[in-house]
Amino acid sequence: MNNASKAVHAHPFSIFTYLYRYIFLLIIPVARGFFTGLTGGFAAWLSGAWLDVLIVVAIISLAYLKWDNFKYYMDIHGIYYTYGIFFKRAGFIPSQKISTFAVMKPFWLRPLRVSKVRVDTIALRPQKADLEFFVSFDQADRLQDFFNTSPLTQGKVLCQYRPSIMGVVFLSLFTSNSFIGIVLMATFISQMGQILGRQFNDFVFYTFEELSRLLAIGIPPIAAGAALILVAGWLIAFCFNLLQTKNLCTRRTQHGLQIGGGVITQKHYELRISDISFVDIRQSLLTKLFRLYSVYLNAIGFGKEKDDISAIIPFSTQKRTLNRLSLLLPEYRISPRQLKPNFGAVFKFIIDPFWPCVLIPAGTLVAAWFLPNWTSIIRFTGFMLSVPAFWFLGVRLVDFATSGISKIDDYYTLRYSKLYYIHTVVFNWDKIALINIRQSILQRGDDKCDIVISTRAEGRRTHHIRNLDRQPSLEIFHAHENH
Amino acid sequence: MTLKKPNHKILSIWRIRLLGMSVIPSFFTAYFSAWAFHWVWKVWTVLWVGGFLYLYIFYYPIKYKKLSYTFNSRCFILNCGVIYTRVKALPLQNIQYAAVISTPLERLFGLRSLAVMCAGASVYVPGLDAQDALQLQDILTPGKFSGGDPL
Repeated sequence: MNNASKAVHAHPFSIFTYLYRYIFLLIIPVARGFFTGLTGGFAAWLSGAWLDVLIVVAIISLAYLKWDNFKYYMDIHGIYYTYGIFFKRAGFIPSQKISTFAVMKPFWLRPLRVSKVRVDTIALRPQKADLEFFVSFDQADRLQDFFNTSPLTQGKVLCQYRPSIMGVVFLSLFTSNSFIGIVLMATFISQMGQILGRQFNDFVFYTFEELSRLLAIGIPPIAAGAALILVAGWLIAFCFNLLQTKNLCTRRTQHGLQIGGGVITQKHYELRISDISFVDIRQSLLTKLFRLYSVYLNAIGFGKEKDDISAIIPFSTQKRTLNRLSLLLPEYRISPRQLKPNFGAVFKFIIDPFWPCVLIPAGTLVAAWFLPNWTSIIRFTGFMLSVPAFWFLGVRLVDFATSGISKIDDYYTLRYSKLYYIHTVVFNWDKIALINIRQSILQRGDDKCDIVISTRAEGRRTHHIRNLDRQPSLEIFHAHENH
Repeated sequence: MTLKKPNHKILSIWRIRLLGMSVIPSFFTAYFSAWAFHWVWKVWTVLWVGGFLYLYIFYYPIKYKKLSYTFNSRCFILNCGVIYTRVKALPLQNIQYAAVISTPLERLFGLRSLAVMCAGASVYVPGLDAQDALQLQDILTPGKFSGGDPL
């Protein structure tokens, strides 16, 4: 009995998810309604309503056919799948090629006992999993067992780490993004307005106006309003992040990691240690000052979607973080710096933030001089724009003091900054895709270089370290032709 | 390890391509020559002629001079760059495959280019003799090389 004959359907809930792919067909009845409304009136529209009904039936039929043509079969050897109505595709992903096997249980699907299974390999696009489908809870558990019994993932749990609630709170505190919160808030208000009517929208806007007026102490009300939106957006994003990472738990088996957590969407990932690209200890300027560390993983199929877990150790002290890391991933050892930039390289680090730090205050003064009636708002805007510029300068100064490269056995530790974050990245030699040692004309005089490492991943991920000695850099990465 | 240079004919190919690309700006210069005393015409002409001469006299010769490749026990190494001098090292175990590429102009001169693909990066080696390109492709195909000097 071959795999095709043993294949089964995904959960019928999938039909609803397939509906949106054919929603574009609704443009036909919409266009028809528009043109008949302009020319023939209601009677003309009604006489052609059969076409609208036909389009809706076609959408539902296509979604059903798509579900009917999707089948899968999984055992310890791998997962067989087939899909497509007109353009059919059948494939087999061997277990040893599956990097991440994830089961997601969003809260709106839990009453239906439906979960989403995600299977990912190093191939194809980094933005989307290789295979995604909906199954019942029981079926998801069975599929997970198959992946767990594969020789490359099986093994008893060697250790387990469950972070404290404060660690999770700090993680959400420092990683929440105001923009996402604002988008969520705007969507919520607009949808509630449609359901509850105009009165709700008026109530929300009146409350917002009153709060802006109350908070406008020494600053213009419009600026207070903008600050209120940002704070509210951040607060919503914070709550959302907290619910996504609550109950975080990481278990280490002989060859793999099992990571689970989340309240809104319960997530469970199975990762192979060999498929982890690198470990990233990430800090912002604030957490650097408070000496708090959080550890992220870069692995194929992990941390892909916006509500995925990507931190395995949320904010902790250095000692605790290193201790946890040595238990969960003892292979990834952080070594002290061997190569670091010289003192004269400080200008290379601060040149990028230097210009905004000078030009924004200068521009503010000039604008205030030209438009004296707008002085208060210009000054406030100038101040708000200067804050991220000087913050960036602070990050680059810390980067200058801490950046460098080291190596222990075949594990490299890179320390560098990217935008507003300071990274300490650890990876194995076999995860390096490309070593680019770059020397500009100005660096030739003292034989310095920049190093850009691309690590092995679905997409491109680079690590850039500035102004190191060229010869030792060539030797540490075996990029010397005489090696 | 033997450092190998691409065939010098690649410099001619780059220059011929440059001549081909300069046809359009030279056409505009000639077409609007009645406006020769206008500053826009002067700036346009100076810019494209200056760019052409910079590429023809300095950029491509320096690019060829710095271009070379070799192997060591762990990596395929490509030396390249003009303004930035670059050493690009590809760990041999992460190479997925290599593809031989040729344009009509390259085929006319008997040359090929090689694109070496890894998960997360790729490197392009121009100006190889046809035989060298095939040999290099064979060497860089996973499982066929495990260190030493294949050149």
